[in-house]
Formats: sequence, C-alpha cells, structure tokens
Amino acid sequence: MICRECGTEFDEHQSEVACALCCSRSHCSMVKCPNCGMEMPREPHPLARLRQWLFGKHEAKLRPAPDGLCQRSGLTLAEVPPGKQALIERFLDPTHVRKFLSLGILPGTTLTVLKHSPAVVVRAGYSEFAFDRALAQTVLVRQL
Amino acid sequence: MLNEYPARDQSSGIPREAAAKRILIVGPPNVGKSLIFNRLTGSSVSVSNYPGTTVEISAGTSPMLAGCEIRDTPGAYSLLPITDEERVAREIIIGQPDAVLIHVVDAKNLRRMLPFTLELLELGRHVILVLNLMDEARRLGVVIDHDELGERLGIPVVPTVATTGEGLDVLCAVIRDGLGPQPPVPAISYPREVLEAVRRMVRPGVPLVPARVLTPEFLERLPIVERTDFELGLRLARQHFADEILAEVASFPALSDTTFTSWLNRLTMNVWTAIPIALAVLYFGVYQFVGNFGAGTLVDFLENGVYEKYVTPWLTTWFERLIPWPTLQDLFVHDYGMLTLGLRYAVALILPIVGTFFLMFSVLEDSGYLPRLALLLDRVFKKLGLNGRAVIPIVLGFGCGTMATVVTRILETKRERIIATILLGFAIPCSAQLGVVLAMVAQRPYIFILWIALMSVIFLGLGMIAARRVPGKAPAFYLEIPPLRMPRLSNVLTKTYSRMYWYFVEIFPLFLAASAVIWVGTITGVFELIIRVIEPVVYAMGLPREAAHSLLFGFFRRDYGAAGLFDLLNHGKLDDRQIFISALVISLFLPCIAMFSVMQKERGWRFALGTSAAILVTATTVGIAANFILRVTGAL
Repeated sequence: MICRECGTEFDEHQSEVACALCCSRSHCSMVKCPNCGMEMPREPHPLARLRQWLFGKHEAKLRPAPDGLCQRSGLTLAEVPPGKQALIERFLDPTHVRKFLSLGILPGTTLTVLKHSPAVVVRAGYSEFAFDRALAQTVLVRQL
Repeated sequence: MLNEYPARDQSSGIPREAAAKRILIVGPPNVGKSLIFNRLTGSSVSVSNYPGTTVEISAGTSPMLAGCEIRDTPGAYSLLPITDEERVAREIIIGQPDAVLIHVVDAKNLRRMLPFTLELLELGRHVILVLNLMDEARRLGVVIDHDELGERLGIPVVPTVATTGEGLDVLCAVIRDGLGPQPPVPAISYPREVLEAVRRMVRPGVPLVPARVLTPEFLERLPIVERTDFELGLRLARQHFADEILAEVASFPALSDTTFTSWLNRLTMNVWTAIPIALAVLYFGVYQFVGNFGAGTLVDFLENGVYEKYVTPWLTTWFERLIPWPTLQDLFVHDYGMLTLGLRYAVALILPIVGTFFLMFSVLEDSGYLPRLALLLDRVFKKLGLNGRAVIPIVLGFGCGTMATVVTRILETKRERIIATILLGFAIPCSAQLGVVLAMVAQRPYIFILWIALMSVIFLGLGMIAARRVPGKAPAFYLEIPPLRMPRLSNVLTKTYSRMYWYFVEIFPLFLAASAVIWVGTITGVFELIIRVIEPVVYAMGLPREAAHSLLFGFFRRDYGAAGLFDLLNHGKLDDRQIFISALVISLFLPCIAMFSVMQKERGWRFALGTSAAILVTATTVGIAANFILRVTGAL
C-alpha cells in the first residue's frame, strides 16, 4: 500500500517496524508507515490482492536516492539554474558514466544549462543534450 | 593531377594495389556516413540512418575507385562498445586488418569526435579523417586548418559536405593515390594505472598501446567502479591530446543565439508550445496527409480507378482462359486469389498508405523533430517503463509494426525492448489498419473520438502494468538533440524509397502466401470449421456473421481483416455500435504474420506465442465488454 503522508510504498508486514513503537499490544486494524510513522487503516483484502496481482509485490521503497548522493556536498547538474554555466567535476554513479562518455561529456567539460523541463537540456560546444532528472542528479558540477 | 593532397612520400608508401582494396566507413551515428557511402558507391540500397537501422551492413563498389570494396558500418563512438551496433562495428573493424578506415565526423563537433580518430590510429591502420557537415560548421564560424591537422596526425584530412557532394572528389583522389606511409601512433600520455594494466597484458618490449590490447571482455571483468575509472582515464587522456592539437589548428567561436532555427528550437522544446506543435504535426502529417491523402485519395484512385476497372477484369479473363479448372483459378483470381486479393491489397491498398507514412516519417526524421518529441514525451514514457527514445519505434509502429519491432533495438535495456514490443503488438495500429479504421469512422466523429480515447486508455494502462510486471531497472533518458534542419528532398525521397523497398521485399511475399493459405483453407473446408467455432464469439461482440470471415483473415494479416470489415461497412451491413466495436477489435487484433515472425526472431518463440495469445484474449474480451456496456447503457 501507499502511505498517504509521504507516498512511500510498503507491504503491510513491513509496518511492524513502526508498530513496535506503539504502546497498544493487541492486533489492531491500523498500520503504520515504516518511513514516517503515519497511522492509517489497512487496505481491504481483495483490493490489496488485486493490486499485488496487477503491479507486483513491492518491498518498501524508502525514498530512493541515487548511489552516493547522500554523502555529496557539491552541486549536481539538476540544481544549476537555467542560463547558467557549469563545469563537470565528477560522475557520482559509475553505472551511468558510459552514457555521458558516449555523448562526449567528460569531467572538465563546460556546459550551459538551458532548461529543466520537460527534462534537463544542456549545451556543450555546438550540441544540445537532454537528460532526465535522475541522470542529471548523478553529475557533480561547479557552477561558473 | 588528381592528388590535391599535401605531398606524401609515395615511394615509401605501401603498394597502390594494397592501399585501396577495402575501405570501411566508420564514425558516430548521424554524421552522414551512409550518405557518403551512397555518394561513393552511387547506390541507394540502404540509407536509413537513425540508430538501429543500419541493420544489415551495406557493401558496394565505387565506379570512381575500380577494384575496391567499400563497406558501411553501424554508428560507433568508440572501439569499446556499449551498444549492439558498436559491437558490430568493432567486430568489422578488427576483423578486416587490411582495410583503410574512413572516419567520418561532424566538423563542428570535431573536438568531441577526434578521440575516436586517435583510437583508430592506435590500431596502426590507415585512417582518413573526413570532416563532414562543413557547411554547418562554416555557418557557425568554425575554422579548421585541415592541412595542418593532417600534418599533425600524419593522415589525410578531407573536409566535405556530403549532401551537396562537395569534397568527395578529393576524398576519392586521396583513396586512390594519397595514402602515404603508415601513420604514426599518437603519443598520448595515459595515466599510470592504465599503462600498468596494459603492461600486464602484453609481452615485455611490446609498445604499450591501449587500443590494440584492450578488449571489451577485459573491461567487463573489472569491477564497475574500477572499470569506470579506467575508461574515464583512457578517454580523458585522448581528449587532452586532441584538445592540444585543436587549440593550434582550429577555432570554435562562441555561439550566437539569434538565428531562426534557434528561435524555433526553443519553441519545440518548451512544453507549452511543443504540445500544440506536436498536435499540429499529428493532424497535418498523420490525419491529413496519410489518412486523407494516402488512405483516401490515392487508395481510391488505385483501387477503384486502376485495379477494379482494368487490372482485375484483365487478369480474371486471362486466367479463366489459361486454366480450365475453377478451383485452381481461385488460387490466382476471383474473391481470394493471390493476384486479385493479395496483390491488390499490397499494391492498391497498403502501399499508398505505407508510402505516404514513410514519406512523412522521413521528413520528420531529417528535420530533427523526433528527438524533440522524445524529450517532450519522456516523462509519459517513463510511466510506461520506457524512456523518451522509444518514440522512434512507437511512432514508426503507426507506419509498420514489423519495421518498428526491428527498430526497438535502439532501446538500451532488454526490459525496454520487451515493453516496447508488447505495446507495438497490442495497442499501436499500423498504418494499414489505421487507414481502414479512419475510413470506417470518418463520417462519425463521435465514434472516432471514443475510439481514440479507448485506445489511449488501453495503451497507457497496458504500459503501466507492463512497467510494473516486467522485471528490470528503470530506464535512463539521455539523448543528443540535433539542430533543426530543413529536410532535403532528394534525401527524403531516397529514404522513403529504401523503406518502401524493404517493406515490399519483406511483406509482399507474405501477402501472396496468405492468399494461398486462405485458398487452401477454403477448398479444404477448414475455414468453414473454424468460422463455426468463432461464430459465437463474433455474435457476443454483436457483429454480423460475415465479420467472422474478416476476423479469421485477420490472423494472417491484420489489414486483411480490417479491409474485410470495411467492405461490410460499404455494403451497409454495420450500424454505429458495430462500427465502433469492429474498429476497436481490429485495432487491438493479433499482429500480422510478418510481425509475428520478427517478434519470434527478436524475442523468441515463447514471447511471440505468449504475446499473441494474450492479444487474442484481450481483443475479444474488450470487444465483448464494449458490446455489453454499449447495449446496457444504450450509448450507441
């Protein structure tokens, strides 16, 4: 089910994490979101079954953050305001580096950010490139 | 004097015969490789140049270069491949050690593309660097001293404009007699870790040249973090070397932002203006040009004007005279004959529709609009488990699902290819179906709107389910947005021609085969039996008995089925509800035999059979459900 407060997706049994903190010992009709602790009624059984069949079984996805993003301190490409220039310093997610290399975008390349919507569009040299937000968040830059 | 090229020491060069026996054209996608290939060979066999369509590698000879074989290769950015195309390109380059390599690059983006030239030079091969799209570069004020650049690299450098043919005579002259001695291996200073790894792989004393030693297999064995550092190290060292040379031989002025294309460029990338533009393209391109002109005017002319009046009566008379047995006559002529049905559908009904569609698609492709559409639709496609790039196969699917299924190769992950194929099979009607459906609902706009709404819901709903059920990682969207260009008529026509040629060669035999199967089915009585079995289903959908025929033929060709239903409509046998339901069912219906065979080739038997079964169930269920709902509510 989906938390109404923070939007986290979780299975009922995962709410035990949050329920352990509750003083009521008996089996109640409420569940708690493992992410934010919001209390809400259980999803009706047949509905939950249908959802599971349609969309597959979900483990809790606690607000996904791209690898290594938590430890970073600098600015990512997704945060550079449109019209501003940025110098690429480092790629944060090694699984995506080849994508940038194939476009000829390397550490040391200077980019101009053109827009953020519908995707991040940048100009490097005489070419324009589009990245989705998730990808742009893996590029560590220095704003010029 | 043919050799206009910086004087080279001809005497110490390799013998002329050996110099130009084999030529490979290599380079990244969309820089005009195929066009240069066609200009050199004078052929127009395969020019489809969006990534993924140089499926078969074209090879040819040139009238200007006697006794020399020229081959085109798929787009590649590097010898260390990421995509399947690059893998193929690498295999061809490595597999032909005596071939001369023509590296074609986009002149204005030379800085970005020169590292690949260096990589090719490291192989110790003869390389000719072709600076194509010089006209665009000049317009931007880019100046490249190509003689000096050639001097630095030790190879011939030829500026060209492939679209007008400028510089190609020089290229020919260079291939013929301008190849000098073996070009030197560029002295790139690689980081220590890279050289260490290379040293471990070669015998002592052998020069440490990464491109000669490193294989994709070696890199795949490295842990991902290490591999990434390694690749970055290689690439940065080459880029540094290239930058140092370019700083002295070329100048790239800053961009001015005032041109018309730049203004239009902004409009096509801003959500608020891009959506109306996309709708306008859809309306004029698809509805007016393909739907009204192709499926209406042209089909009408060919079917009623040419075929019904002259060809069919003529063929029928001849075959009735030639073959005395009516049963055998039926194989060629009469209602389901190979020539009067198979050939008629192929030539008079499908070809004009597919032809106009391919023409429109080529214009869109050459103008650079498709990547902008990809950008616009990326977020929607993400919900379907795809990324913006999938617009190319999906839009192409409205032309021919079979070709589109092949083109799903441009998608990066297997998951995306599977989802795209499913969507193409289920919910994207091809131009032949679309043409017939549009004709069926043309007089009744409310049915048309209802049909579009329901098809969109099915497309989106199916995609969202597929996105959640098909395992794998969420896709990433990254794409180069090329400048908007005015499409060139000759180029558009060549592309359209080559696609129609492909369509004809691939699909045409299947049309005839389907006619033959229908003939066998009819004379053996097998079809009557099947029709009796599916009759209850047809009744459940509220359709007349004759519709069973059309649906059965739909197994062989979706458009056969659609055309059959169209016939029923013309004879006034369908009411509004039946029109809507049959339009719906036929749009959702099974892929044609050609698409099934491509699905099997690309995704395997299990996938092809499973998808077909699922489609069959969905189409009938939706048909029955729609009939029930419309009856109960009395809406139509």
